[in-house]
Amino acid sequence: MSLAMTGIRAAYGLREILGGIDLAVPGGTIVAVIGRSGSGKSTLLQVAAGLLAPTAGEVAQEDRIACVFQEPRLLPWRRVVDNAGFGLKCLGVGRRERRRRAAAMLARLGLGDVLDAWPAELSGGMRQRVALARAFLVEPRLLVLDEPFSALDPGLRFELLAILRSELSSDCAVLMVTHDIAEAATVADRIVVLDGEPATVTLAHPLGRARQPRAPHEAHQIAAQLFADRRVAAAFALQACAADIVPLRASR
Amino acid sequence: MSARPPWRPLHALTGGSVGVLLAVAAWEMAACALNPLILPPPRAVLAELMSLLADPANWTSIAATLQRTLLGFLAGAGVGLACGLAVGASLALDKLIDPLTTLLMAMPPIAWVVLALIWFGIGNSAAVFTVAVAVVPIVAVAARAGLVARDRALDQMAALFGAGPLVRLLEVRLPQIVTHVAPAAITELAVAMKVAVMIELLALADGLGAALARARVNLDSATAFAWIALVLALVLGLDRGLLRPLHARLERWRAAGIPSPGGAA
Repeated sequence: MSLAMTGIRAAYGLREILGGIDLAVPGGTIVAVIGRSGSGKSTLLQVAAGLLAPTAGEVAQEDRIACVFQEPRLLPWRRVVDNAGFGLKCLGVGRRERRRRAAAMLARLGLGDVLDAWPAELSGGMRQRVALARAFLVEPRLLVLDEPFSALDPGLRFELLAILRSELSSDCAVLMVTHDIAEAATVADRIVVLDGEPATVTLAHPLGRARQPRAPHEAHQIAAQLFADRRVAAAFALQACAADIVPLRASR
Repeated sequence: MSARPPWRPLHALTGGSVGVLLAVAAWEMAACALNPLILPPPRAVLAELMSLLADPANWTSIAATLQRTLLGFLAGAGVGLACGLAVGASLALDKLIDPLTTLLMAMPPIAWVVLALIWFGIGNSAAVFTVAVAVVPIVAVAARAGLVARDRALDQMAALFGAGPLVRLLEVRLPQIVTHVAPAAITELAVAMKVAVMIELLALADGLGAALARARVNLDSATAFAWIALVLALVLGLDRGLLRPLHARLERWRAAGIPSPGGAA
């Protein structure tokens, strides 16, 4: 088991954010936690990554953790190859070896000819690929993703999720939080819905193992099915408008 | 569609030193109207400067002043940087030291000269100390401001990858405060030179300040002007030749994000 959380409670000051969460992410699986903004997803992620101590409950996680955030969070003053090697530097890998491995990984992600560029010279999708390279290079046992692709267009997102599937070692556990059901449905093996104050898991929906990312139409179909569930609708505060939904008609 | 900067003939001919040339012209005109003892003409000062530079003994003076300036500056900037980093990292330390920095900044350099001469006696240490103590508070305030304004998302990223304290300092924190500290350091280098010349003039037997004091005693205004010109040239040289290129190199990444006219996109 690469990440196991039992009875997790967490608070910021006096406000309790998480009200007893049980969540397991076995090695080799991708679990997506969805919920609206402010639902406690990021708090859950911080507890999972060991950045925030829970007020109650237990977390068992791997010690080699990597993370990809919504923004790439690259160091603007370091060149692409050194940004990709940042995680290795934290592990104490020497400069020459670090650069060699980073260059090889960047080449696999299609960034072989911008090794010495500054992050500011790259497009948003390229920067996020550098952030992915940085995470893959530490050969994580637990990868934590905080809405990593929600700022990208559908094509880019699909491409990066495919890289995620192909580059990760087969026993790495992935915990992804997002408010975007389609993003979750593209790649997750299981979708967990977070709702309430304090937040609890209101639905855990298995999708089965996806060897490759699901195509956008397939992912959106899954998203549509999920939205029809009242627990999912409630998690996104859509109960009120559910009665008003009129089936879309093709425009002329 | 390359946006070329427009050609400015005056700029191209003078390399941007029109202001200095105008000032020299005004000086020349004023010198014609005044007693050369009060205002020697630029030519006389230039001739005096050349003869000063021809004497190897004067190079020792220049070296002494440069050494005091640079040693004091480096020590002051180092201590200031360390203080700023410590204060920016701890709220309690911030509350403790903040009023002290204000006091330190209010302290006239001349008062430090008096104290330094009492503590260290007449000599190099007194000069280096006075220079350093003038540089510390400004650099500390700038470093603190830089640290407070840092991108905390990068701190979190580094923590998640398990970065140790040294990696966090060198890779994440220091590069962010360069933007704040560099302008302060560039200003303070000029201050350092001023303070060094001041203490030399008041108390020491060598250096540019002492030479300036001798020119005053001899009522030799051309020599005094030549020494002043030399001090200004040294500050300008250190600024344009050392600090600004260093700053530009440290902040190369910033320019990379701006598309240059005519350059590759």
